[in-house]
Amino acid sequence: MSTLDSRSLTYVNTFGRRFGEPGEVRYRLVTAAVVCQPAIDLPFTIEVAKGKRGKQHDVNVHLEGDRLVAEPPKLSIAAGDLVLWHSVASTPGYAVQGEGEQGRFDSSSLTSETLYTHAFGVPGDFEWTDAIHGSLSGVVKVTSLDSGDPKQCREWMEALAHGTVVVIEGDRADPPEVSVLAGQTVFFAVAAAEGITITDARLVGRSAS
Amino acid sequence: MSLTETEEVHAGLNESGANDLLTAVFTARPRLLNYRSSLLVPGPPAATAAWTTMAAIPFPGLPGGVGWGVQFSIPVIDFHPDSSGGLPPPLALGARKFSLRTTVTLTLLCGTRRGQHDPDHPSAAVTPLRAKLELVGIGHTNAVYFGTPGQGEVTFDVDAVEIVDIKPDELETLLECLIRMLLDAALGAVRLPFHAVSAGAFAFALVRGPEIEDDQLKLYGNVL
Amino acid sequence: MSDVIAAIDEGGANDLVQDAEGALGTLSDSGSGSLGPFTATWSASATFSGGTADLIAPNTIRLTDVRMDYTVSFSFSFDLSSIIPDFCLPQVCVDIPFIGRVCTPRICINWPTVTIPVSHSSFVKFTADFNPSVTLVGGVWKVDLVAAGVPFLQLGPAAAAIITAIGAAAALVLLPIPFIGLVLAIAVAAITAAISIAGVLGLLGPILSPFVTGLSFTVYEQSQVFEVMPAVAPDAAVNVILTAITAAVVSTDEDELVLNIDLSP
Repeated sequence: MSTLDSRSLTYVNTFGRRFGEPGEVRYRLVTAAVVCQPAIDLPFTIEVAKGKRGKQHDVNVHLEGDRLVAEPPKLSIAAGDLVLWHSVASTPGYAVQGEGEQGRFDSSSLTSETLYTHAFGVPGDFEWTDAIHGSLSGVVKVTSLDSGDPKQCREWMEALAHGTVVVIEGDRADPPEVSVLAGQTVFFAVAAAEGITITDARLVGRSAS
Repeated sequence: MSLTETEEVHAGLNESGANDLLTAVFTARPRLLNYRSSLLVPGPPAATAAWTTMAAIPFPGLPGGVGWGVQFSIPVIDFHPDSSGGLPPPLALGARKFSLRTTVTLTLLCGTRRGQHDPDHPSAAVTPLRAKLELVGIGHTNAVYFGTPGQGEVTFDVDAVEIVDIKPDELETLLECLIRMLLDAALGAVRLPFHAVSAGAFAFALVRGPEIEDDQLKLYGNVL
Repeated sequence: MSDVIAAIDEGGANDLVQDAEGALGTLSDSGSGSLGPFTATWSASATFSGGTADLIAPNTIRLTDVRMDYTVSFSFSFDLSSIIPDFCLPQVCVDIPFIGRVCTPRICINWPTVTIPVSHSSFVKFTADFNPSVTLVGGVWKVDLVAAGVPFLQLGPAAAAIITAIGAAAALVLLPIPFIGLVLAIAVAAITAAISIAGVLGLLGPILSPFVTGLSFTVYEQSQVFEVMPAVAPDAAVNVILTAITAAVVSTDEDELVLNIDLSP
C-alpha cells in the first residue's frame, strides 16, 4: 500500500496539478487497475476563474460504497492555483484523469506543472525510473533512527515536517539522488515532461543505473 | 530377604506354574510322550501325528523285527523341598533338585517267527502286550545360552528313576535304567526360554541360575 | 503362591524406566490458549529422559529429576492499532519554483493486523509419583506406570526466555511495516508488556503440564495367549494363557517392583 509508483496513488501520496488557464475542467477518479478506459463520465468539476493567485486547494479522495468520490466534487479556483488530490488509508490505489482548456491530464502520466509526493515508510535504497520511457531515473536513500533513544526520537520527529524536492525536467532529475529518513516526504515536481511516471525500478524489472 | 538378592531381576517359576508349562508343552506336542514302531501299537492317542514313529528292533530270524511302544503320561514336577509326600527309597529330593512322577506304558507286539507283524500287512497275527508302571524320578536343571544377551533356555535332566517292587532286583535295575534313559531323552525336548520362566517380564541377561529352592525354579539377572 | 513371580529392584527399575522413556518417543499435541490478552494457536512436542527411580511400598514409583525436553511453537494475531497509538505524519510544506508553496495533508497511519510466530525449545526437570496399573485390553496384558497427581514444573526461566523471543519475533514481523520504525520500540515493548511473564506462564503451563500428568510408561506388555515355545516343524507353538497379573512394590531388605502372574495351559 505504500509502493513508490505514481501510476497508483495511495494515502502516502498526493498528486498536484497547477491550472494556469481559466475554463471548466472535468475529471474522474479511477482505480489504478482500470486506468485505460474511454473518458465518458467525468463527474467532478473544477471551475478555473480568471486571475492569478497561486493558492492550494485540497481534494480528498475516498470510497463511498464501491465508488471513488472527490470531496469537494465541485471546486472553484483561480488560474494559477494548485489542486492537490490526497486520500486516506482505506482508499484503494487510484488515478485522476481529466480534461479542460489546457487539454487532457492523467496522474498516471505526469506532465508539466504536475506534482507527485511520496512518504517513504521503510528504510532502504529505492531506485526509481519512468515506467513509460525508461530514460529518467533517480535514487531515494531512506534510513531510520532509533525511536527508542530519546535524542534520536526527537531528531526524527522534527525531521518529519521537512520535505525534500526533486525537480524533473525532460529526462533529468535534480538532484538524482536524495537521502531522507523513514516517514519523510519527497516531492517529485515535474517542470517539463511529455508524460512520465515515478516508479520503483523493481516493478518494471530494471535498475536505474 | 529380597527376591532379586544381588542382581537386578528375579524370575521365579513356581512348581504349579512349571506343571502348567509342561502340560502345555506335551498337550501341544504329544509325540514327545508317545513312541512306537507301527500302527499296530494301539492308542490312545488315536491320531498318527500324536506319535513319534520309529523302526522296529531288528533281530535275526524275526522278519520285521520286534514291534514296540513306549508312552509316558505328562510328568508332574515337584521342586525342592518335597511337597509330594515323600519319595520311594533310595530316591531323596536334595537341594537344587526336582522330583517328577509319571507313568510309563510299555507295549510289545507279541508274535511268532512266521506271524511277525508286518507294517504293510496289519492282519498278521501279533498281539499288543502292555504294561503300565508308576515311576518317580529326580533330576536337575541347566541353563543353555545362545550367545545373544538374554537369550537362552532352561533344560531338564533326569538323574534317576525308581520303579517300586519289580522282581528280581536285577530286572528292576534294568528297567529303571532303560526308562530313565528314555524319559531323560523325552524330557530333553522340553527347553524353556528364559523369558518363559518370567512370563515375558523384565528382559534380562542371566547371571545366576536356574536354582531350585522354595518350590520354585529361580533365575537371576540384570536388565538388558 | 503365584505361578510366576517376577521382581525388579531399584537399579533395574531405573534401567526399565530409561528404556520406557526411549520407547515413548516424541509426544505431540496442539491447540489454542490465552497468551495474555491474545489468543494463540500452538503445537508442542516433548521427549523424556533420565530420572532416578525410588520404589516405595505399597505401590509408588517415584521418579526424581526426570527431564522433559520440549519445543513449543505458537502464533498470535492482533490489530496493531489496539496496542500502539494512532500515529500521523505531520503536514509537510515546501516551495517549488514553478508551482509555489505546496503543503501535504497530515497522513494518519493505519496499522495492520499482524501475526507473530514464536518457537521455543528448552527443558524442565520434575519429580513425580507413578502407580503401577495393570490392564487387559484386546487380549493384551499391560503394566503401566501411570503418573499420579500434578507435579510442579518450574517454568519461570522458560517464560522469561519466551518473552524475549516474543520481542525478537515481533520486531522481525513489524520491521517491514511502513512507518513502523517510528514506533517500533514502543510497539515491541507494548506487545511484551501486554503479554507479560504471567501471560506466557498462563499459556505454557496448560501446554506442558498435560504431557507430564498424562505420562505413562509401559513396563510389561504381553499377549494373554503367551507363546512359551515357537512353532518348529512339525511341532506347533506351545502357548499358555496368562490368567491374572498383579503389580505392587514390596519392601524387604530392598524395595522391589513385583509382578505376580498366574497361567494355565
